[in-house]
Amino acid sequence: MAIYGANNNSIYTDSASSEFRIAVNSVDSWKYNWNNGSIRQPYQPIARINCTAGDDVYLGSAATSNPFTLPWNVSAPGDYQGTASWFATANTFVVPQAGIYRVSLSVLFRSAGHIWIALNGSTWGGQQGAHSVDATSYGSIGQSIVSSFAAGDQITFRGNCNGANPNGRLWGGGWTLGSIERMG
Amino acid sequence: MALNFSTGQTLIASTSSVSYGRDFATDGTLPDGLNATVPTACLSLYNGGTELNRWSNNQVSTNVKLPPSLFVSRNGSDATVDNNPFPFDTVFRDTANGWNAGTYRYTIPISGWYRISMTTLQNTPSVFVPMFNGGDFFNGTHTVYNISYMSFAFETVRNCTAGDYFTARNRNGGRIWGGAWTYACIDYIG
Repeated sequence: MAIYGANNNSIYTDSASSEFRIAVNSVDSWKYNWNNGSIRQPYQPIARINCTAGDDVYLGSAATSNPFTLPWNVSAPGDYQGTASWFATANTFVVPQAGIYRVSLSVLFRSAGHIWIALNGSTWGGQQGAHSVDATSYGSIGQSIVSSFAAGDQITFRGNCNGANPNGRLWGGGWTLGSIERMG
Repeated sequence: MALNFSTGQTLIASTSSVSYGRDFATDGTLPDGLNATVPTACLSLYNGGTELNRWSNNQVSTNVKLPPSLFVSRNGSDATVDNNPFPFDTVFRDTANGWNAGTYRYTIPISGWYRISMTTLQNTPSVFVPMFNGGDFFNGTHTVYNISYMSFAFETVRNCTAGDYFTARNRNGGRIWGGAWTYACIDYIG
């Protein structure tokens, strides 16, 4: 049995995949597997972002008033779903649909510096950094923020050096990660 | 009222509540705080006689049948050797039986996106490294001096295929704190 509504909307079961499905405008938008309890929403925006290329990222030697947008990139096809808007602006995630998003950032510092999550170009998320690292000790930080965003909001990851310890440096080679997921 | 699908599933509007199991083990280490009373079910999906998913009368949805989710910790002594893989020794939650206590490996039960988070505390020269399919994918925290302590909090998402696996390792043989200071969570998100 299937339940059909207007505009080609429906609720139905697919026994081959053991799924309840909700189709909106004839497109399967919500799939619930009754064997393992998983919910699949193939159009929900999710992105995993690696730091570009293998080189370390230098945050510059300028004062802290000169923040630097990190050169993020989607590392490979398949590492994002539900949106193609990541590249609309360089190194920027443009929120495709309004909603609640979880934004995470995990970095490894190789020399002292700051890093933070920025909204529409401004400092927004809590700034964090590793101030005590030097040539022989490295520091990692992780932060995660859940917030409401409007369509078109721009999320970036930004950093700068510590004024007292210029030449802030983050490890490249995939050691610096970001992720963005729409929660609802 | 119930809507019966031809494949044996039903969508039921109900006024009765259904019991809900606890999420946490009761070994005294973590509070058994999630064994709460569940609000009255309002609309539920069933497979045969088993409730799967519920929308309650407070508008909150509950996965009665939980998707893959892992929560493990190093609860014993500090791990002070070059452990590969890192010996998480206590399982608080493993809803899809993906954890292997002999190999310290979590094998992805079903394909999809997962959120991975790990937290450690370490205090001698060491590097704690999350791994995916046997390779490093984040370089963890490096500590150098015996007098410095460093914590490590890491979170990311990953699109996985069933059979992929996660481990972690303690590189360079430093001290990674036990006593539940070091733990990992892996959750299916979609």
